[in-house]
This record gives sequence, C-alpha cells and structure tokens, in this order.
Amino acid sequence: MGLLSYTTKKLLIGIPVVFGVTIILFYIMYSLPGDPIKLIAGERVTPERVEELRRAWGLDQPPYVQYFYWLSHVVRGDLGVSIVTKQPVSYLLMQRLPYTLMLMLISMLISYAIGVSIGIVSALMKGKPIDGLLSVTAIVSYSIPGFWLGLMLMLVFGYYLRLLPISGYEGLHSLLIPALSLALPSSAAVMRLMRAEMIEVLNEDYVRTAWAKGLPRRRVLVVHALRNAVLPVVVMLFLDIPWLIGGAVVIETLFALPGMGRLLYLSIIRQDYAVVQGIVLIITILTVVFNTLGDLVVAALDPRVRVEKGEGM
Amino acid sequence: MTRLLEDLRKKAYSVYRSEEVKLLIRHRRGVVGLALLTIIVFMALTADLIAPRRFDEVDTALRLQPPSLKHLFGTDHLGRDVFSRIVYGARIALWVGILVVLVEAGIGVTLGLISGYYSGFLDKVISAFTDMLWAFPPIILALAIVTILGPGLTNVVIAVAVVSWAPYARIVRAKTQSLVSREFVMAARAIGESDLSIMFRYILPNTLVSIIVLATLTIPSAILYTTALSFLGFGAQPPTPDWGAMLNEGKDYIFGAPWNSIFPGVFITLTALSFNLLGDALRDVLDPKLRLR
Amino acid sequence: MPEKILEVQNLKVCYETGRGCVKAVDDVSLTIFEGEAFCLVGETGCGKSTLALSIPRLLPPNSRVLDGRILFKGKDLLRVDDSELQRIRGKEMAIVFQNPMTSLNPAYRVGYQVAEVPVTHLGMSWDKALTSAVNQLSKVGIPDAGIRARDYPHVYSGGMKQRSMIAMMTTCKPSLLIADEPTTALDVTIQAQILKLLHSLRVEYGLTLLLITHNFGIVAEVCDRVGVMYSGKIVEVGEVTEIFDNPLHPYTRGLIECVASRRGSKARLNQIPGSLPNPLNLPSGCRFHPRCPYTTYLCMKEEPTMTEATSNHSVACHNYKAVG
Repeated sequence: MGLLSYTTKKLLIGIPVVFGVTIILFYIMYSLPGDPIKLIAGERVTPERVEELRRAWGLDQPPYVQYFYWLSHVVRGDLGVSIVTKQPVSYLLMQRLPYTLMLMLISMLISYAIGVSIGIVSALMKGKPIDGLLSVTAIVSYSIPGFWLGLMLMLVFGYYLRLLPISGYEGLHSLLIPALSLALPSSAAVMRLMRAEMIEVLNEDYVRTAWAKGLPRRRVLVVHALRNAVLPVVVMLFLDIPWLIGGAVVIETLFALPGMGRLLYLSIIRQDYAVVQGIVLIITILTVVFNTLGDLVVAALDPRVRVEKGEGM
Repeated sequence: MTRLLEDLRKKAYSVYRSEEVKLLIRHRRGVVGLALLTIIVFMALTADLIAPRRFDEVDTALRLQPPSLKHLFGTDHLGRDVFSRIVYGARIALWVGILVVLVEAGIGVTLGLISGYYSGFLDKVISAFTDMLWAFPPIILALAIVTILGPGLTNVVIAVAVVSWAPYARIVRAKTQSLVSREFVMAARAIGESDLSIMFRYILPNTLVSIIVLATLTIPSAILYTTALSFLGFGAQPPTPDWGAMLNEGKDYIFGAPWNSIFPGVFITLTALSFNLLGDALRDVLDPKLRLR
Repeated sequence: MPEKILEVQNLKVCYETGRGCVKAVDDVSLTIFEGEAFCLVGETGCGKSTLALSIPRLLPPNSRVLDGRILFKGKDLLRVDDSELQRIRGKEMAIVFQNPMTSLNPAYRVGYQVAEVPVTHLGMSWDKALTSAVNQLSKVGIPDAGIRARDYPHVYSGGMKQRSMIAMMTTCKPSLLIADEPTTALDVTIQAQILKLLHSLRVEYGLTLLLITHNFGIVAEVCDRVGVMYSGKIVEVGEVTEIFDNPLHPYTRGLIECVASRRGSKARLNQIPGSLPNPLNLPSGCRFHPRCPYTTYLCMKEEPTMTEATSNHSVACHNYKAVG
C-alpha cells in the first residue's frame, strides 16, 4: 500500500467524525436555553421585530435545514456571521487562530523537550535515587491544575518579579507563562511515557544484539534503542493536540489572550452559535488532520506499519 | 456441574491475594498517597469539628486578612475564613471526584462489555463512537454540555462524566474480548446462562481489578476538569466552598490577597496527587500492563 | 596441545528475585581450546544460557556475577573496562541468540545492521561496509543478497533472520562464536541448515564454537567436546565420542538414552524421572540424587567434585565407576 492511498484512507475515515461532531454540536446549540435574538436585540423590542430578526438569521428554520444551510456555506468557505459582532466567522477565526497555534507550538516544544530528555535520563538511571526523584516530580506536576499553575506563575513572574506581562498580548513573550502552564502537566505525561518505552526497549533482544556487536554506547542507546522507543511518544504528540486545545480555552481565558480558546469561551457565554460552530469545526478538522499526521509519521518511522496497517481501537 | 462452575468462577476472580497486599504495603509511594488521602478524607469527614467557622460565615470587618494564627489561611473578600472553606471544600472535591468516576465507569463499562461481548455491527458502532469521543478535547464538549444544562455542580459532574468514559469502554472491551473465549465463560454458556448473566456475573468481575485501578487513576482528572469548569464560572456557584470556585473568586484579588488563590490550588494538587500516587501503586501491583492512553 | 582460548573459572551467577538472589550458575569451571567446537548440553533452566550470556557480559540487569573469572585470550572479561569489552564484542567474540525473531532491530534494513559491525570495528566506510554486508549475507545463504539486504527484518523468515544474525556476527571473523540455542526457535528442516552453516563457517574461518543446546541429538553431529550441565553445575566434560560411548554420569546416561530411544529402538519414555530441582530449595549433597538410580548415602550427604576419569574425560559423581 502506498503512502498516498494510506493517507487518503486515513483522511476518509476522518470525514464521518467531522460530520458527527458538527451535527451533534448543532443539535446541542439548537437545544440551548435562552434566545440569542433577545441577546442582540435587547428585551424591549416588539415581537414582530424579533420574528423579523429570527427570519433574517435563519433561526426560524428546523435544525436540520439550518445545518444543511450552514454546511452548504461551509463548503464554499463561508462559516457564517457572528450574531454578536456581525463580523464573518472566518475572519474572526483567522484573526484568532495564529495566537492559539503559536501558544500550542511553544507549549509543545517546552513539554516535549523537557519530557523526552528527562524521560530518557530517568530510564537510563532506572532504580537509582535520581530516577525516583524525577518520577515523583512528574507525578506532582501532572497533579497540578494548569490554570492554577498559570495563576501562580502570573503572581511570581508578572507581579513579584515583574519579568513578564501579567495578561493580554504584547508580543511573543506574553505567551511564555501561558505556554509554561499548559506545558508542565503535559511534559510529565510525556516523561512517563518516554521512560516506560525506553525501559521496555532497552530490554529488547535487538538492543542486546546491538551490545553484542560491540557498538559504542551512544550508538546502541540512540540509534538502536531511542529510535524505537520514541515512536509511541511521537504518536502521543499528535494525539495530545486536541487536549492542548482544551487546555488553551482555560489558559487563554485566564490570561486574556486574543486566541481561539478565549473566543470560544466568550461565544459560549454569548450564545454566538455561528462562532462556536465554526471553532468546533476547526478543532475537529485539526484533530482529524493531526491524528492522520501521527499515523503517517509512525508509518514513516516504523517499516512494519506500512505493510500491516494498524487499524481498530 | 454447577458446583464446579461456581468454583471456576470464584477462582477466576480472586481479587484478594495476600502476596499483592504485601507488595502494596511495600510500595512506598502508594503508602504516601494513601496517607495523604486519609488526611483529606479526615478533613472532609470532620469538617464540622475542625473548621473554626462555617464556610459561608461572612464578616465584612475581616475582609482580605492575611494568614494569621486566628485565620490560618487568611480571609477572602467577604471576610470568610479561607481555612474553613478549604476544609469544607474537601467534601466537595471528594464527592465530585467519586461521583464523576461512578457515572463515567457506569457508562464506559456497560458500553465496553456490550461491544466486547457482541462483536460485529454493535461493536463497530460503539467503538467508532468511543474513538470519536477519545479524539475530541473533553473540556470543550463538557463546556458545551454545561451550557445546555446551565451552571451548577451537578451539571458539571454530568458533563465531565459524559465526555470522559472512553478509557473505560476501551479497556473493558479489550478485557471482555479476551475473556469471552475462556473456559469458564464457555462452560457458563453451555449450561444455558443468559448473555446478561454472563456479562455481569462472569466477565465483569474479572475486569474489576482493571476498573478499580482505572477509577483511582481517573479521579484526579475528574477533579481537575470539574475545578477547571468551576474556575471558569460554570460550576459550583457561591457560596459553595468548591476549590475551583474559590480560585475563580480569588483571582480578582490575586495580587493583594494571594492566599485566596494559593491554598485552594495547593489542596486541589494534593488531592489529585494522593489519588495519582495510590493509583500508580495499584496499577504497578495489580495490573502493570494497564495504560490510560 | 592447542591453546586455551576461553577459560571460565569458578563462575557464580545469580538472579535477583523477591526472595533473594537465586543461583543460576554455581561454581562452574570450563576450558575451551582454540579451533574446537564445544557443546554445552542440559535441560531448559539448568543455567547454560546464563553461562553463555555471562561470557560477553550480556546478562540482564537483574542478574549478578558473584564470583569467578572469565579468561578470554588471557584477559579477564569480568574485569576489563567498557571500551575494551566493546572492542572484543563483535570483533573477537561474537554471539548468536536463541530467538532470531526478536534479535534484529525492526527499524533498520538488514544490510545496514550487518554493515554496522565492520564500520565500528574495522573503520570501514559505509559504502564499503554495505557492499561487504551483501557479500556476507550471500555467504550465509541469503538468496539475492544484493536485493534482500535492503529489506527490513520483518519480511524475513525465521531461518533467514538467524542466517543474517550469523552473517552479522561473523563479518569480523571472530575467534570465538557463542551460539545460544541457535536453532531452538526454528523449524526442524531449517535447524539442520543452520547447523551446517555454522560448521562450514567454522571450517572456513577457523573459529572456535561454543554451542549451547538442550538437544543431545545435534551434539554428535557438530561437536568435538561436550559439557553436560545440571542445575547450575557442570557434571561431566569430555570428548564427544567418549561421552557417547562411555557416559559416566547417570544424568548424561539418561540424556543419551533419551536420544537413542527416540531414534527407533524400543522406546522407554521418561528415562529420567522427575524434573530440575527448585534453585531456591536445592537437594542436599549431589543435586541429582533425588532423580538418580545409583543414589547412595554419600550422594545425599556430600556434593561430588569434578574428577578426572581419563585424561580427556571428567565427571562429578561419587559412583561413576559403577555407572560406566
């Protein structure tokens, strides 16, 4: 099976997921209490005016009609218009997405740099006091709620030390504390996985073969052990992305960053259907794309997968 | 025949093995976790006795007092004693954690049993659904559900449980698939036990160890998610002394009265930590191959 | 008299378990001469693989060498430093493992894995090493080696994997090749081919072979001398014809009769009653006495030591004169 058809197949599997999530969300939004028209028009308008507005926004139609209407526009790249700001959703998203992606990128760099290196050290020191210390540190770090960590970092670096901005976006350095708050709990998970995989691989027969060949220590550990141990960690990197987006909602709200997560939070509060729907669509597509990318990277790194094509749960 | 079957069934799920209890006692981190948890449970049980004041006792004269001997963790913007609120908050945190896990285990285990037992179409549908849920950011779905149900602690519990049962379904499904072909299940089928009885009386008990380990390991994330939602203002409403809600109220005073933000977070961390330590120990001893992701 | 190439002296190895360190190799001494093929025979669990792995210091981390010396060309392998050990492994001493299925790295092409050895030890360039890897692979009988060298191990059969292992381990023409049950995981038809390959390489390269096996049947075909292991100890050593014609230890005798009866004559199953003793609870005196038809009072009280029966035949049995 070629890599191209493999990719196509993986992406095709993702399509029903995108539909499923957006349909479910559409019905969730539809059944929400409260009336968005009242929110934009205020309480003191005539019922006729409300009716008029409702028709103008297409909200008088049954939900499946609304969904198909929305879908037919999405296909043409039109995600609708925000009921609150009256701006096109795609414009709002394009404005916000870069901040969220940048936040995720920085936090992933931090968490994988820390997690992978400490995981390897811990595996090589298995059973020694350092390993114990690192493992306990890892458990403690992923017991810390990210938003609280954010608060504390804000307090220390933003207020006491005055090294970094407290909230809002004033440049890339504004993303540092938020990224750290997202990264630390996830780096602990990375570290534990890396450690477990490395320990497992170091016990593999082929690593013993590498020692038996008289290869230098570095070559055995990096070329023969790490190469195989890092695979599941790479998979996790891609599977982690949806989790990070979830974390970004809380962290961006806390730090008042102009990203997609905060927009989602605000839109849920304001019942801005179109924006929520658009953001969820983007998140779902990102999820599917990154899952596929994860599979592809594994296929590229592990010659066995290309033939066997791992499927199922 | 039935006697024999009964014996087989018992043998298959002897959860208690003295060897393992010994290993658990020797698991140092597990013991530390258990000790921590005991302290928090003790706080929750005796809150009425050890809290110097009620959690909702307002005293505007004592607004935002720093920690002192009289107010161990200081007071908040309404002059409430933070220590007392934290002690009462332990009840909420434990309740919420356990409740979420009960609900998500209920959903996940049932679906896992069904999809593992009946292979074929039903399995495909459930598995696809599980995969979909697995891939999606849980906090965002939970947010959506809370928006429908409206804010409140009960709704947050439901929302978090509804979005995070996927690990239970996957693990129980895998275990069920490996158990279906075992001789005691075959024997049960041969003597005409119903599918329902086989699933719940024969297979379920054999997955119990994994479920217990999984439950201990998912309580922390349940607590972290619910406090996150409370922190965003969707969860517990004032004056409930929920630790997440306390952080939400406290963050407006973070620079002037940081104790309002420090202590609730410390206790969320300690509670999550105690379950993580205990869960790791249980997994190491009872089910070393279990993986959460 | 040929040179001694390997001398194991009083080696003791144990494995850490929850209930103390369990001895797998207990006070074993063994000498192997240049150019010979030496077979170490014994039941599964008797410690022969532990002995084999301890020579290039490839024992798993839960094991401990308690005592002893392993002299390879006069150097004590247990005391050389890591860089020296690295230089010896794969160049002067090589080892082929029991399970070829898991012994090759799934992430790299077979040719690359073979080529690593000359690159490391002979300072060859990768280009040259890959060419020599192809040669080496075709020498061990991989068909179309030029093409197959570019395959990943998972498309190889078990026999081909073991051939590649042998190719990899012999590219530097080591003086000692340890083969730890190299055919156990393979089909019977493949087994014979692999043994033949080992034999021809031995002749061509003049290498010394230490073959570990539980199959007495293949001993006669391949070996010059035999050591029989039982419960962590060597109980009998001698030339292969000597051992077969005149086994002095009751255990050896039982093993040989097993083979003989399998080969047709009136089958007497269960030549040796019972099984290996639990290493945590060894019998007193001679470890074989509970299963031995010749047991005397002395056997229960005192552990026998190796004694020379003839100039090329030693045995550890109180009653070997009665057995022989």
